[in-house]
Amino acid sequence: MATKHKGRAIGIDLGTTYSCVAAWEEQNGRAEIIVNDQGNRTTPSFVAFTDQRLIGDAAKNQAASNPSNTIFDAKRLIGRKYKDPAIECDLKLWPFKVVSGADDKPMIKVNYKGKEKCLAAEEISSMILSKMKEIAEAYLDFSLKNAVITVPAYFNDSQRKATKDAGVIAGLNVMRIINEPTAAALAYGLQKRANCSEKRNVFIFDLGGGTFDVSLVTIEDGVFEVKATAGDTHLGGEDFDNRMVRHFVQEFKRKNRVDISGDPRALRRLRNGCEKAKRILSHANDTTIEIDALFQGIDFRFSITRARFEDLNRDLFEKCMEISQNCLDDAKMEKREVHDVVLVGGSSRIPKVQSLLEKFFQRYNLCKSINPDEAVAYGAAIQAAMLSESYSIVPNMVLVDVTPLSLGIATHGDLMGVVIPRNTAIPVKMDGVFQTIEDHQPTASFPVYEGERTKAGENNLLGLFHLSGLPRVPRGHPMNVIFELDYDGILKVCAVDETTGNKNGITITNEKGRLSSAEIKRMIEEAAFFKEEDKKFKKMVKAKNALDDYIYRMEKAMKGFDVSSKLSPSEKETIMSKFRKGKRMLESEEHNEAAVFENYLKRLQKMCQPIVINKVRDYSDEDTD
Amino acid sequence: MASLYEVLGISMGASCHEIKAAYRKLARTCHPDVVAMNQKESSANMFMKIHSAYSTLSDPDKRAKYDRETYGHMVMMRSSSNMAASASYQSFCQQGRKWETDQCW
Repeated sequence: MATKHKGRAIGIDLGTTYSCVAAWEEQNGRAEIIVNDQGNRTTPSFVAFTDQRLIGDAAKNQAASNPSNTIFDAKRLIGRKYKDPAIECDLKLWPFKVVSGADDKPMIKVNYKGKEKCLAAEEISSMILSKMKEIAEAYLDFSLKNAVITVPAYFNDSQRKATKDAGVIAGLNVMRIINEPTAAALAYGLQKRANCSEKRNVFIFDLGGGTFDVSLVTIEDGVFEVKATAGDTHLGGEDFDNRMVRHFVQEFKRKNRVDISGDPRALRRLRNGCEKAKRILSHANDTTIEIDALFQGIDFRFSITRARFEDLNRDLFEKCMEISQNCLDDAKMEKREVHDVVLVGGSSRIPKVQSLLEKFFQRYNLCKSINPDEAVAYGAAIQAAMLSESYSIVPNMVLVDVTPLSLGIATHGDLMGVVIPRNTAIPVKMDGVFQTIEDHQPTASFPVYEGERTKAGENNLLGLFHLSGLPRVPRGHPMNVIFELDYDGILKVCAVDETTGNKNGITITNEKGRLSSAEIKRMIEEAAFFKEEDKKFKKMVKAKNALDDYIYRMEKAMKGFDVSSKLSPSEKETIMSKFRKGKRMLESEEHNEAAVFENYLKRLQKMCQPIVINKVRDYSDEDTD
Repeated sequence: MASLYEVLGISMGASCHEIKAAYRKLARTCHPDVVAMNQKESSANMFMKIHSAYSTLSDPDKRAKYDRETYGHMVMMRSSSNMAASASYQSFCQQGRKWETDQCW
């Protein structure tokens, strides 16, 4: 095995609500989930802006006090248009502002240090990715570049590419974008079926915070073959929370005759309460949500039963089963042929989901033996190790994934002419013959689409190219169109006129709405700016703390022993007034430069040191003992 | 051009099980993920050939059709299915999908 990617690599599960990072541990022969600076194994996918930038736990913790500048759900926006019907409803619920930018790209408006800033979803995601990178670097004690990032299997081309861009902005070398259920299958295969050489048909049911995916994977002899995949990129725990929030807003209105739906702070607090209640309802039959002074001083106190929760989300749960059936149909497999049903994603803990799934498969042994929150990152780390040359002991496994959406060309009458059907193994090269529709047609256009709708216009347009210089012949002149999808998911389409040898093609890389390389460059610079600001802020906090600490100790020292032998009362008063000035400086928001505090501290030290150096040292030593 | 059987390195009489085993063995060595960076391109081409051979031969109907088209009556003895024989002409006609493209200008 010669040169692959150089350097160690990590796997990142970039989730809608939570993200997780893992690294392959050669000496242990397994992947390790890396805990963040708060000691948590998953990090909220939250970014907040105040006079500083917060990412992860810190951002989520202050969400209620700063709702309009706390950004979450970036994954629901990434790679989509502002007008996308899927996010129409979300736009109304989000407490932060989203506006339509160039090419109908959604832009998030935030207030950072008193200035308004417009950020793309890619930038928010990149901030989360850079946080995950930092978490991993702190743990591994190693500077990292290479990463495998996971996306929902049912993400389309622009969503995948936007995720890859986010990785680039975060300073990562994205070795591969892999599908979440596939990653989970790798984790399952390695953790639970490592010594099993016979064939297993594994059904991965991945219901996460924002997306739902199912995949049917056949594992045999270390080859992981994805047979079919299906899903919904807008179905998950967040939607269950939304339903609960909506329910309680109505209840609250009925009981107290006030409407809280216009108050982002109240909604955020209610949402946090609902998320907690949802988790409790996975093991308890009922729970009470209590929030003091939710709105206009009115306390919120409502109980909810599990049955009510299930009722609120019934249609969503049933949708999951429908999609599962579609996946089995696509794989041409019967339910009884499935050996294991593996639960992945936090929302797969919901008892109703499990019971529906048990009923669906007519079995009572769903596999819950892998950690649903961590399996995806675990699998990504395995794949990262397999793609990197830095590891000599990696599992001898190969992953053959499929394309989740059909790829084709819009033909006459806006019909979708599928060239690569969905669930085809990649890499793949396929072709189809297309004909001209008019006599003496000089040019043919080839709009490339992905999606399952019969009407091409309703699918996702990937790109367009033309083949000109066609011979002057009657209609029906054949042209061969070749689709090539490589192992990185990059699609090349090429049309050849066999009679003349004329050729033209397109590599789908930079369609509308996607970031141009100039934009990416700007965002990388911006990311560096944010990082610099974060550093400055940290430095300032440190300087402030040092000054505060010094004043506190010196004041205590001055009070604690007699300084009259060394200081005259007026000298003492001067020093004390300097301390008071220092305290005022610390309290005011006026200064935000670390240097101001550092210089002030130095001045104070200079003033005090010659007089009380020995005494204070004695005193503070005693103090700390 | 190598036959699909040659691609997988198996005999024409190989059982379904042998076909799958051969494919898995090749996948583990030829998949673009497991080879060196500079060989990715050729390995991807190789893997595509292997996979397409596998997907044809592992499907009994497609395999019978392939056998007929490639080896004619010679193999009819082996896969002596009446249904397959009657479908042979039809399948020839169905080869390749044809669509009309939209005219641009």
